[in-house]
Amino acid sequence: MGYTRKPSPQTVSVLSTLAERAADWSHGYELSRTLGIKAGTLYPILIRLAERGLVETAWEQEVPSGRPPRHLYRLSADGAEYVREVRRARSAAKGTTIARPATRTARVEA
Amino acid sequence: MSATAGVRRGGGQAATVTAVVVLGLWVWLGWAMAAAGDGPVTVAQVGWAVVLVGMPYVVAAAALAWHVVRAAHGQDTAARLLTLTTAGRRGPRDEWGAAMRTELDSVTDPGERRRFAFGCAVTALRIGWGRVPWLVAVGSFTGFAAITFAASRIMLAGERTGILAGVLGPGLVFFAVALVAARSGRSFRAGLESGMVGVFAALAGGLVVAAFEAVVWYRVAGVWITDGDSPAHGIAGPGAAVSDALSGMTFFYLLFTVPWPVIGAALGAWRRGH
Repeated sequence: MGYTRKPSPQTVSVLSTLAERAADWSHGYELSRTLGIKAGTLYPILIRLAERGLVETAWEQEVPSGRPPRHLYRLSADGAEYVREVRRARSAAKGTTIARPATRTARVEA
Repeated sequence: MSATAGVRRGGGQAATVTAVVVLGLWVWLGWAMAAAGDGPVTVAQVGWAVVLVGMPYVVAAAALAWHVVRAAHGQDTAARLLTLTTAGRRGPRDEWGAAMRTELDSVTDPGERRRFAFGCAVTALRIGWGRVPWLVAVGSFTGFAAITFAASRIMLAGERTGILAGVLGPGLVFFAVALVAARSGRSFRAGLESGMVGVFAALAGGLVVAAFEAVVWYRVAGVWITDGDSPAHGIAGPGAAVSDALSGMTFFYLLFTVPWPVIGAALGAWRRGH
Protein backbone atom coordinates (compact mmCIF):
# COMPACT_ATOMS: atom_id res chain seq x y z
CA MET A 1 0.00 0.00 0.00
CA GLY A 2 3.05 2.20 0.15
CA TYR A 3 2.33 3.56 3.63
CA THR A 4 4.89 1.79 5.76
CA ARG A 5 5.57 4.50 8.35
CA LYS A 6 3.53 4.34 11.54
CA PRO A 7 0.78 6.96 11.19
CA SER A 8 0.65 9.88 13.62
CA PRO A 9 -2.26 10.10 16.10
CA GLN A 10 -3.70 12.98 14.05
CA THR A 11 -3.51 10.93 10.86
CA VAL A 12 -5.28 8.05 12.61
CA SER A 13 -7.96 10.52 13.80
CA VAL A 14 -8.57 11.73 10.25
CA LEU A 15 -8.65 8.20 8.87
CA SER A 16 -10.97 6.97 11.61
CA THR A 17 -13.40 9.83 11.11
CA LEU A 18 -13.46 9.34 7.35
CA ALA A 19 -13.92 5.59 7.89
CA GLU A 20 -16.94 6.21 10.09
CA ARG A 21 -18.49 8.35 7.38
CA ALA A 22 -17.86 5.64 4.77
CA ALA A 23 -19.15 6.93 1.42
CA ASP A 24 -20.16 10.37 2.74
CA TRP A 25 -17.96 13.27 1.72
CA SER A 26 -16.32 15.59 4.27
CA HIS A 27 -14.75 19.00 3.80
CA GLY A 28 -11.67 20.51 5.38
CA TYR A 29 -12.98 23.12 7.80
CA GLU A 30 -15.66 20.80 9.18
CA LEU A 31 -13.08 18.02 9.65
CA SER A 32 -10.77 20.47 11.36
CA ARG A 33 -13.49 21.52 13.81
CA THR A 34 -14.76 17.98 14.43
CA LEU A 35 -11.31 16.62 15.19
CA GLY A 36 -9.94 19.72 16.92
CA ILE A 37 -7.00 19.70 14.51
CA LYS A 38 -5.68 22.98 13.14
CA ALA A 39 -5.76 23.57 9.40
CA GLY A 40 -1.95 23.67 9.35
CA THR A 41 -1.92 20.06 10.58
CA LEU A 42 -5.02 18.75 8.80
CA TYR A 43 -4.21 19.79 5.23
CA PRO A 44 -0.72 18.26 5.10
CA ILE A 45 -2.32 15.01 6.35
CA LEU A 46 -5.06 15.16 3.70
CA ILE A 47 -2.49 15.95 1.00
CA ARG A 48 -0.30 12.99 2.02
CA LEU A 49 -3.26 10.62 2.24
CA ALA A 50 -4.57 11.75 -1.15
CA GLU A 51 -1.13 11.37 -2.74
CA ARG A 52 -0.95 7.83 -1.40
CA GLY A 53 -4.38 7.01 -2.75
CA LEU A 54 -5.89 6.47 0.69
CA VAL A 55 -8.27 9.41 0.37
CA GLU A 56 -10.40 10.37 -2.64
CA THR A 57 -10.95 14.01 -3.43
CA ALA A 58 -13.66 15.74 -5.45
CA TRP A 59 -15.12 19.17 -5.95
CA GLU A 60 -18.63 19.82 -4.66
CA GLN A 61 -21.20 19.51 -7.45
CA GLU A 62 -24.33 21.01 -5.90
CA VAL A 63 -23.33 24.36 -4.49
CA PRO A 64 -25.63 26.82 -2.72
CA SER A 65 -25.47 30.25 -4.30
CA GLY A 66 -23.11 32.70 -2.69
CA ARG A 67 -20.08 30.50 -2.23
CA PRO A 68 -17.72 28.57 -4.46
CA PRO A 69 -17.65 24.74 -4.58
CA ARG A 70 -15.66 23.13 -1.80
CA HIS A 71 -13.07 20.39 -2.01
CA LEU A 72 -14.40 17.15 -0.55
CA TYR A 73 -12.71 14.09 0.94
CA ARG A 74 -13.61 10.51 1.68
CA LEU A 75 -11.75 7.26 2.24
CA SER A 76 -10.85 5.24 -0.85
CA ALA A 77 -11.07 1.44 -0.95
CA ASP A 78 -7.32 1.30 -0.24
CA GLY A 79 -7.83 3.76 2.59
CA ALA A 80 -10.56 1.60 4.13
CA GLU A 81 -8.27 -1.42 3.91
CA TYR A 82 -5.46 0.58 5.45
CA VAL A 83 -7.67 1.64 8.38
CA ARG A 84 -8.53 -2.04 8.96
CA GLU A 85 -4.80 -2.87 8.94
CA VAL A 86 -4.05 -0.09 11.42
CA ARG A 87 -6.84 -1.26 13.70
CA ARG A 88 -5.65 -4.88 13.49
CA ALA A 89 -2.08 -3.83 14.25
CA ARG A 90 -3.19 -1.71 17.17
CA SER A 91 -5.42 -4.41 18.63
CA ALA A 92 -2.61 -6.92 18.29
CA ALA A 93 -0.28 -4.54 20.11
CA LYS A 94 -2.67 -3.46 22.83
CA GLY A 95 -5.09 -6.35 23.24
CA THR A 96 -8.61 -6.45 21.95
CA THR A 97 -9.65 -2.86 22.76
CA ILE A 98 -8.34 -0.11 20.57
CA ALA A 99 -7.73 3.17 22.31
CA ARG A 100 -8.35 5.79 19.67
CA PRO A 101 -6.54 9.13 19.83
CA ALA A 102 -8.41 11.78 21.75
CA THR A 103 -10.33 14.25 19.64
CA ARG A 104 -12.73 17.02 20.57
CA THR A 105 -15.90 15.24 19.55
CA ALA A 106 -14.90 11.84 18.25
CA ARG A 107 -13.68 9.12 20.56
CA VAL A 108 -14.81 5.80 19.16
CA GLU A 109 -14.16 2.24 20.23
CA ALA A 110 -13.62 -0.40 17.55
CA MET B 1 -13.04 50.29 -12.17
CA SER B 2 -12.94 46.47 -12.50
CA ALA B 3 -11.40 44.33 -9.74
CA THR B 4 -8.54 43.36 -12.07
CA ALA B 5 -7.81 46.98 -12.93
CA GLY B 6 -7.93 47.85 -9.22
CA VAL B 7 -5.46 45.10 -8.34
CA ARG B 8 -3.21 46.19 -11.21
CA ARG B 9 -3.34 49.80 -10.07
CA GLY B 10 -2.67 48.74 -6.46
CA GLY B 11 0.35 46.76 -7.66
CA GLY B 12 1.67 49.75 -9.57
CA GLN B 13 1.27 52.05 -6.58
CA ALA B 14 2.96 49.57 -4.24
CA ALA B 15 5.84 49.14 -6.70
CA THR B 16 6.31 52.92 -7.00
CA VAL B 17 6.21 53.56 -3.25
CA THR B 18 8.58 50.65 -2.57
CA ALA B 19 11.00 51.82 -5.25
CA VAL B 20 11.08 55.36 -3.81
CA VAL B 21 11.62 54.09 -0.25
CA VAL B 22 14.38 51.65 -1.23
CA LEU B 23 16.05 54.28 -3.42
CA GLY B 24 15.99 56.69 -0.47
CA LEU B 25 17.56 54.04 1.76
CA TRP B 26 20.32 53.42 -0.78
CA VAL B 27 21.07 57.14 -1.14
CA TRP B 28 21.43 57.30 2.63
CA LEU B 29 23.57 54.13 2.66
CA GLY B 30 25.68 55.44 -0.24
CA TRP B 31 26.28 58.68 1.61
CA ALA B 32 27.18 56.76 4.80
CA MET B 33 29.63 54.53 2.88
CA ALA B 34 31.22 57.53 1.18
CA ALA B 35 31.45 59.38 4.49
CA ALA B 36 33.26 56.40 6.02
CA GLY B 37 36.16 56.92 3.58
CA ASP B 38 38.87 59.58 3.57
CA GLY B 39 38.08 63.08 2.31
CA PRO B 40 34.80 64.90 1.72
CA VAL B 41 31.71 63.15 0.36
CA THR B 42 31.02 63.86 -3.30
CA VAL B 43 27.84 63.41 -5.32
CA ALA B 44 29.76 61.14 -7.70
CA GLN B 45 30.75 58.79 -4.85
CA VAL B 46 27.18 58.51 -3.59
CA GLY B 47 25.88 58.16 -7.14
CA TRP B 48 28.19 55.29 -7.97
CA ALA B 49 27.28 53.42 -4.79
CA VAL B 50 23.58 53.86 -5.55
CA VAL B 51 23.83 52.95 -9.22
CA LEU B 52 26.20 49.99 -8.90
CA VAL B 53 24.86 48.38 -5.74
CA GLY B 54 21.52 49.98 -4.95
CA MET B 55 19.68 50.02 -8.26
CA PRO B 56 19.23 46.23 -8.51
CA TYR B 57 17.66 46.39 -5.04
CA VAL B 58 15.32 49.19 -6.12
CA VAL B 59 14.16 47.23 -9.18
CA ALA B 60 13.88 43.94 -7.24
CA ALA B 61 11.93 45.50 -4.37
CA ALA B 62 9.53 47.19 -6.77
CA ALA B 63 8.99 43.94 -8.69
CA LEU B 64 8.43 42.02 -5.47
CA ALA B 65 5.93 44.59 -4.18
CA TRP B 66 4.08 44.54 -7.50
CA HIS B 67 3.76 40.74 -7.46
CA VAL B 68 2.85 40.55 -3.76
CA VAL B 69 0.06 43.13 -4.06
CA ARG B 70 -1.30 41.52 -7.22
CA ALA B 71 -1.24 38.05 -5.64
CA ALA B 72 -2.69 39.07 -2.25
CA HIS B 73 -6.30 39.92 -2.95
CA GLY B 74 -9.53 39.17 -1.13
CA GLN B 75 -12.14 40.55 1.22
CA ASP B 76 -9.99 40.61 4.38
CA THR B 77 -6.52 39.91 5.75
CA ALA B 78 -7.23 36.18 6.01
CA ALA B 79 -8.21 35.91 2.35
CA ARG B 80 -5.27 38.06 1.23
CA LEU B 81 -2.82 35.96 3.26
CA LEU B 82 -4.15 32.75 1.74
CA THR B 83 -4.26 34.00 -1.84
CA LEU B 84 -0.70 35.27 -1.48
CA THR B 85 0.71 32.04 -0.07
CA THR B 86 -1.12 29.83 -2.56
CA ALA B 87 -0.40 31.97 -5.64
CA GLY B 88 1.72 30.81 -8.53
CA ARG B 89 1.47 27.07 -7.90
CA ARG B 90 0.95 24.63 -10.71
CA GLY B 91 -0.59 21.17 -10.96
CA PRO B 92 -1.82 19.35 -7.85
CA ARG B 93 -0.36 21.99 -5.54
CA ASP B 94 -2.51 24.62 -7.22
CA GLU B 95 -5.60 22.45 -6.64
CA TRP B 96 -4.82 22.19 -2.92
CA GLY B 97 -4.39 25.95 -2.81
CA ALA B 98 -7.80 26.36 -4.43
CA ALA B 99 -9.26 23.83 -1.96
CA MET B 100 -8.06 25.89 0.99
CA ARG B 101 -9.20 29.19 -0.53
CA THR B 102 -12.72 27.95 -1.26
CA GLU B 103 -12.93 26.40 2.21
CA LEU B 104 -12.06 29.77 3.73
CA ASP B 105 -14.98 31.31 1.84
CA SER B 106 -17.36 29.19 3.91
CA VAL B 107 -15.91 30.37 7.24
CA THR B 108 -17.65 33.51 8.48
CA ASP B 109 -16.31 34.29 11.97
CA PRO B 110 -13.37 36.76 11.58
CA GLY B 111 -11.24 35.10 14.28
CA GLU B 112 -11.86 31.64 12.84
CA ARG B 113 -11.04 32.94 9.37
CA ARG B 114 -7.72 34.31 10.57
CA ARG B 115 -6.80 31.07 12.37
CA PHE B 116 -7.90 28.88 9.48
CA ALA B 117 -6.11 31.05 6.91
CA PHE B 118 -2.91 31.08 8.95
CA GLY B 119 -2.91 27.28 9.24
CA CYS B 120 -3.58 26.93 5.52
CA ALA B 121 -0.88 29.49 4.70
CA VAL B 122 1.66 27.46 6.68
CA THR B 123 0.56 24.38 4.75
CA ALA B 124 0.82 26.21 1.43
CA LEU B 125 4.39 27.20 2.22
CA ARG B 126 5.22 23.66 3.31
CA ILE B 127 3.73 21.94 0.27
CA GLY B 128 6.62 20.54 -1.71
CA TRP B 129 8.39 22.86 -4.14
CA GLY B 130 8.60 20.21 -6.81
CA ARG B 131 11.83 18.84 -8.23
CA VAL B 132 13.24 21.91 -9.95
CA PRO B 133 14.34 23.93 -6.88
CA TRP B 134 15.95 20.83 -5.36
CA LEU B 135 17.89 20.15 -8.55
CA VAL B 136 18.93 23.81 -8.60
CA ALA B 137 20.02 23.52 -4.96
CA VAL B 138 22.17 20.43 -5.51
CA GLY B 139 23.64 21.81 -8.73
CA SER B 140 24.36 25.20 -7.17
CA PHE B 141 25.98 23.75 -4.07
CA THR B 142 28.30 21.40 -5.94
CA GLY B 143 28.89 23.78 -8.84
CA PHE B 144 29.86 26.74 -6.71
CA ALA B 145 31.94 24.57 -4.39
CA ALA B 146 33.91 23.37 -7.43
CA ILE B 147 34.20 26.88 -8.91
CA THR B 148 35.38 28.31 -5.57
CA PHE B 149 38.01 25.58 -5.27
CA ALA B 150 39.25 26.05 -8.83
CA ALA B 151 39.29 29.87 -8.51
CA SER B 152 41.14 29.61 -5.22
CA ARG B 153 43.88 27.36 -6.58
CA ILE B 154 44.27 29.29 -9.86
CA MET B 155 44.48 32.64 -8.05
CA LEU B 156 46.82 31.31 -5.38
CA ALA B 157 49.20 30.15 -8.11
CA GLY B 158 48.78 33.42 -10.01
CA GLU B 159 48.23 37.03 -8.99
CA ARG B 160 46.31 36.32 -5.76
CA THR B 161 43.59 38.87 -6.42
CA GLY B 162 41.27 37.03 -4.03
CA ILE B 163 38.08 35.13 -4.70
CA LEU B 164 35.86 38.18 -4.22
CA ALA B 165 37.03 39.28 -7.66
CA GLY B 166 34.29 37.05 -9.06
CA VAL B 167 31.53 38.23 -6.73
CA LEU B 168 29.38 39.65 -9.54
CA GLY B 169 29.15 36.30 -11.36
CA PRO B 170 26.63 34.46 -9.13
CA GLY B 171 24.10 37.29 -9.47
CA LEU B 172 24.05 36.85 -13.23
CA VAL B 173 23.85 33.06 -12.93
CA PHE B 174 20.84 33.18 -10.62
CA PHE B 175 19.21 35.93 -12.65
CA ALA B 176 19.27 33.45 -15.54
CA VAL B 177 18.15 30.51 -13.37
CA ALA B 178 15.16 32.47 -12.03
CA LEU B 179 14.25 33.78 -15.47
CA VAL B 180 14.22 30.30 -17.01
CA ALA B 181 12.38 28.78 -14.02
CA ALA B 182 9.73 31.54 -14.11
CA ARG B 183 9.25 31.09 -17.84
CA SER B 184 9.05 27.30 -17.72
CA GLY B 185 7.02 27.23 -14.49
CA ARG B 186 4.81 30.03 -15.82
CA SER B 187 4.95 31.96 -12.55
CA PHE B 188 6.98 34.54 -10.64
CA ARG B 189 6.92 32.24 -7.64
CA ALA B 190 8.50 29.35 -9.55
CA GLY B 191 11.36 31.60 -10.62
CA LEU B 192 11.81 33.15 -7.20
CA GLU B 193 11.89 29.78 -5.43
CA SER B 194 14.45 28.28 -7.79
CA GLY B 195 16.59 31.41 -7.92
CA MET B 196 16.66 32.00 -4.17
CA VAL B 197 17.25 28.34 -3.34
CA GLY B 198 20.16 28.45 -5.77
CA VAL B 199 21.57 31.62 -4.19
CA PHE B 200 21.71 30.12 -0.70
CA ALA B 201 22.82 26.65 -1.81
CA ALA B 202 25.66 28.19 -3.82
CA LEU B 203 26.68 30.31 -0.85
CA ALA B 204 26.78 27.20 1.35
CA GLY B 205 28.89 25.33 -1.22
CA GLY B 206 31.27 28.27 -1.62
CA LEU B 207 31.65 28.78 2.13
CA VAL B 208 32.50 25.14 2.82
CA VAL B 209 35.36 25.29 0.31
CA ALA B 210 36.44 28.82 1.23
CA ALA B 211 36.80 27.86 4.90
CA PHE B 212 39.39 25.21 3.99
CA GLU B 213 41.03 27.25 1.25
CA ALA B 214 41.42 30.27 3.56
CA VAL B 215 43.77 28.16 5.69
CA VAL B 216 45.73 27.14 2.57
CA TRP B 217 46.15 30.82 1.53
CA TYR B 218 47.21 31.71 5.07
CA ARG B 219 49.80 28.93 5.23
CA VAL B 220 51.15 29.36 1.68
CA ALA B 221 51.07 33.16 1.30
CA GLY B 222 49.99 34.67 4.64
CA VAL B 223 47.13 36.61 2.99
CA TRP B 224 43.34 36.72 3.14
CA ILE B 225 41.61 34.52 0.57
CA THR B 226 38.96 37.17 -0.05
CA ASP B 227 41.16 39.94 -1.48
CA GLY B 228 44.76 38.67 -1.34
CA ASP B 229 45.77 41.34 1.20
CA SER B 230 47.18 40.92 4.69
CA PRO B 231 46.96 43.20 7.72
CA ALA B 232 50.05 45.25 8.65
CA HIS B 233 51.03 42.85 11.43
CA GLY B 234 50.03 39.68 9.59
CA ILE B 235 47.05 37.38 10.03
CA ALA B 236 46.64 36.23 13.64
CA GLY B 237 46.17 32.57 12.73
CA PRO B 238 44.14 30.09 10.69
CA GLY B 239 41.04 30.86 12.74
CA ALA B 240 41.21 34.52 11.75
CA ALA B 241 41.74 33.55 8.11
CA VAL B 242 38.65 31.33 8.15
CA SER B 243 36.58 33.93 9.96
CA ASP B 244 37.50 36.63 7.42
CA ALA B 245 36.70 34.30 4.52
CA LEU B 246 33.29 33.35 5.89
CA SER B 247 32.17 36.84 6.89
CA GLY B 248 33.62 38.57 3.81
CA MET B 249 32.22 36.06 1.35
CA THR B 250 28.79 35.99 2.98
CA PHE B 251 28.46 39.77 3.11
CA PHE B 252 29.67 40.64 -0.38
CA TYR B 253 28.09 37.59 -2.05
CA LEU B 254 24.66 38.37 -0.63
CA LEU B 255 25.06 42.12 -1.27
CA PHE B 256 25.71 41.61 -4.97
CA THR B 257 23.55 38.51 -5.57
CA VAL B 258 20.24 38.71 -3.68
CA PRO B 259 18.29 41.11 -5.95
CA TRP B 260 19.08 39.32 -9.21
CA PRO B 261 16.86 36.21 -8.81
CA VAL B 262 13.93 38.53 -8.03
CA ILE B 263 14.56 40.55 -11.19
CA GLY B 264 15.03 37.37 -13.24
CA ALA B 265 11.81 35.86 -11.90
CA ALA B 266 9.88 39.05 -12.59
CA LEU B 267 11.25 39.26 -16.12
CA GLY B 268 10.55 35.57 -16.79
CA ALA B 269 6.99 35.85 -15.48
CA TRP B 270 6.41 39.09 -17.39
CA ARG B 271 7.64 37.59 -20.64
CA ARG B 272 5.12 34.77 -20.13
CA GLY B 273 2.36 37.17 -19.13
CA HIS B 274 2.14 35.99 -15.49
